[in-house]
Amino acid sequence: MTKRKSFRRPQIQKLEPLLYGEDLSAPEWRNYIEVLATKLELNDYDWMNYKLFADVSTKEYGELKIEFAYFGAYFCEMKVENENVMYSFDFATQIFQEHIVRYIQKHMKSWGETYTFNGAEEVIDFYNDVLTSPYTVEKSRQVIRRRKH
Amino acid sequence: MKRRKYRKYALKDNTVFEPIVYDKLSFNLRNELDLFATTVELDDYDWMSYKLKAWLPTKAYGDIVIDFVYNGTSPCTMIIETKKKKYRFYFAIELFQEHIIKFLQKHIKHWDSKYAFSGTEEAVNFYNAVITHPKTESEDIETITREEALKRMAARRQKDMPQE
Repeated sequence: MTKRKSFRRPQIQKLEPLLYGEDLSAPEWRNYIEVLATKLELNDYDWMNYKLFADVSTKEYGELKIEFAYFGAYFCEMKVENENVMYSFDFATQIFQEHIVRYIQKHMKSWGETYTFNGAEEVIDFYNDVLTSPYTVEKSRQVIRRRKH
Repeated sequence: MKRRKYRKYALKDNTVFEPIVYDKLSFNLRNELDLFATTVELDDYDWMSYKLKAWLPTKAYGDIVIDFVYNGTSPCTMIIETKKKKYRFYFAIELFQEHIIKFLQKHIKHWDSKYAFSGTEEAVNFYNAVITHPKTESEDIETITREEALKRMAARRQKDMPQE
């Protein structure tokens, strides 16, 4: 009897930790991976609303848009978006605190140097810590655009 | 011909920005949370764009919004927005660097404390440093002198005078 091909819905990739340097690739519009796009927003206007945005180009997942957010609650949110999928995670605030402080300290140090600030390594560490933490919960994994087979 | 009466010293805007002492007396505090509104943006996406914004309910100038901006080029700008006008100041990068670092260090420290972070004291110090710095330049400030006011009144009078 021939086996029938099952039309199962294609599995959405699970996010794994990234190795800085190896797993990253040069974005199409830039010649080097050293400088990556990051943005920090510390909004204390009405309520604490701290966000860290980053655009990271990877070999495995393509160009990832990562957003870490803290809103004064007991958990933080990480959203990762690539061309096809949007992932959403909840993680512990201690991780956010630790990495935001490191990021800011690195930023302040760069003021005295000639090279532009590059927060990429810190962002990758942050991302990896969130994914590997036992307290992190993956809230959702949504397909936003169907990948063509 | 009836002569229009002008006020003797009709200045529209005579604002001079003086240093503010960070004290309850300098502000109109409506509630406890009034001195907490600040935002910091460190944008390294395409090009450096660092901003510090603070909302201050001052007694001297009303509710003002102070916006410090560094775009990677010298000089930095400080924009003060009052209810009626916007004023722009240009100042040296070193000032921005010094104060943004102090602000961020204070921010980092607050993570370990029980109290909410208030960056307004640092923002006020920054503002004071900018306006008292000898090399700060300003634009759009209309501190009209008495001579200038009289000149403007005369010009207006001439314009309004009916043609004979």
